[in-house]
Amino acid sequence: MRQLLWICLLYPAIGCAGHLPSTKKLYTEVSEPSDLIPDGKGGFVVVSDNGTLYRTDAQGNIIQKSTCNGQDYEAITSDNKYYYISDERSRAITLVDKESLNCLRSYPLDIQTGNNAGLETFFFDPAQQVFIGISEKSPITVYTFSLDFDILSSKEITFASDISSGCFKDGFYYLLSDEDHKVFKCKPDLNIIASWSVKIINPEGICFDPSGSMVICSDEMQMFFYYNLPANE
Amino acid sequence: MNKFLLLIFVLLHFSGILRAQDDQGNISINARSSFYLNQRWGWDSAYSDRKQNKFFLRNAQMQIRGNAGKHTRFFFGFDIAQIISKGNDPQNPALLDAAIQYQGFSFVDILLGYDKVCYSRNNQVSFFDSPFWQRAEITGGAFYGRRDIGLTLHKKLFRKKLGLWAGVYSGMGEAILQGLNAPSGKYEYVIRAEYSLPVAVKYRELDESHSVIPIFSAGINGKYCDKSLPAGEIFAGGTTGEFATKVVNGEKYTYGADFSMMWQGFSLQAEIHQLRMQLRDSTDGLLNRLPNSVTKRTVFTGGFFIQGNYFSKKLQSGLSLRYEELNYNDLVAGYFARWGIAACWKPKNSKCMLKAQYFYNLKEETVIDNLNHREQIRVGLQINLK
Repeated sequence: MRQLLWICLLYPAIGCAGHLPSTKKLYTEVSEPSDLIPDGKGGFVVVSDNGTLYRTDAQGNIIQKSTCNGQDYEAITSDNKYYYISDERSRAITLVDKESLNCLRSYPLDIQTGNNAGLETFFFDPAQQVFIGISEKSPITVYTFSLDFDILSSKEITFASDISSGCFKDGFYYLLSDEDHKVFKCKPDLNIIASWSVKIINPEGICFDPSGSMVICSDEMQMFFYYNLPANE
Repeated sequence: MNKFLLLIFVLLHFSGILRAQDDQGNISINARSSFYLNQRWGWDSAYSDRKQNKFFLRNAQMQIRGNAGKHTRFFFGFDIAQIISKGNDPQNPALLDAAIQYQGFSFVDILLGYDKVCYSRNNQVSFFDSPFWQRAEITGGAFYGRRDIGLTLHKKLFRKKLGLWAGVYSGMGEAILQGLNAPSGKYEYVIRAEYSLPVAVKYRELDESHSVIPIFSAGINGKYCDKSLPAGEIFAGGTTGEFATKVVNGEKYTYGADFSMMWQGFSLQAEIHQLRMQLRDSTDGLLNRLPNSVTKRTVFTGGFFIQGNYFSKKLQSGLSLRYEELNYNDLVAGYFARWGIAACWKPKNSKCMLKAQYFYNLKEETVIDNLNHREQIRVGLQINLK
């Protein structure tokens, strides 16, 4: 009985071991945040599962709401001109004006997946001038798109249970897994260089803020978590 | 007609899914099926019927799901295996749902049509997400309707941690699909409240994603209906259910509570329910011919279950243990108690599941529902092309 008690007491410590510690966490007013990107003004542009787009301040408070009206926004990325939103349910990419947050036009994607199984992840790779789109699971398929959203290549990956978000930084892809509670740092050929566990329920979005901190948003917790990655990795 | 449905199902099974979409909405058709081998042991010596030792096609379902615009969702699902066999098992109905949900109001979501009643957490968990082949007896739908036609209002508060439901239904349960209504013409009213920490809990039995933070939820719910028969009227055949409790001649109060938690692959669910039936007629069969001074024309049915589970990501396998008790009727001596263990395996990147369950009946109610066996094993496969 005493051994069982010790196991119960020690299990939380064992379970929590190896998690990357967060440096800051805060609630956001955005309901069901599914991805985020720095807006260049100190805040974020955040997409929501309910098909809405918001600009928030650094504390996660909503300061602007877009008139865009999607079905299930799951990812946001940007290049020099626009924000690009992936609507997982309608399998389309929508171009958004960076200042007004008005939707400009949509591009349907030619991918064959099930209902609500479009692109969960969508980010811009400025080094190769391509977009990367990833379906969440069963299977996880990584698509490379041209700047006109034509599919250039596709590849299935199996190193994660799912991929819920991704972003590009300094030549590497950072892929987030909701079910594994992990961040994978990959080369563009999708070979893993490093990975970190994060103690977050339902991590759905990932980006890096201007100071270099990794920021992850949790859909169900409705929170932003900040992390400093180890310098040597 | 049945052959036509079967042909569509087979085509869907081999093609995966059908899907259409535009800017304003989408629609998809999914197919899923399950089949098993059932074997029982420890038969009563005087009981010679062994027909429950069998191969069985449990499901051949088609589900149509979609969005019409941003705020409107629709659901339509049916089971061809049940349609062909004309089965009316509440655990495994022919019509799964036919409903429309509007989420455009900020203050409440509205669901209209035939769907699961907002009573009991277990009732909301899909069979295809459970390692067991059968629900606990008290939540399986033999005592109260799991599905019904009506209106459900739903509101989430406090970052979705608190969920509130209120519904009004026909009160006939699955029997309403046969066009059978009680002569009283009165409705059933249902309420439910559920609080979760630190986030809204999902209706799952297995913690497949190994939640890194413990998640708890607790819920309470109640139902009320008065189906007292007007003078000279009777209930239509098939409306009162297997144990004559789904619709009763009198007032029926049903109330229950549930608890669930998930953490690091471990999960636990527990539920308790009781039906209090205030009957109008002192000669009602539920009163077992006992004098009015003993029964006060009141009869109780109740039960509970507790289920612990672990899911291994590495093995893609789950193991569940369940204990349940049930008292069919408090005016009859004896109650039913059963242990169950279930194991499942999900191939990676697949929604299919191989599952096996074993039941051991510890105590058996012999007056109302003599099961005539002690052990049962059920092994099979469910295919889910979603």
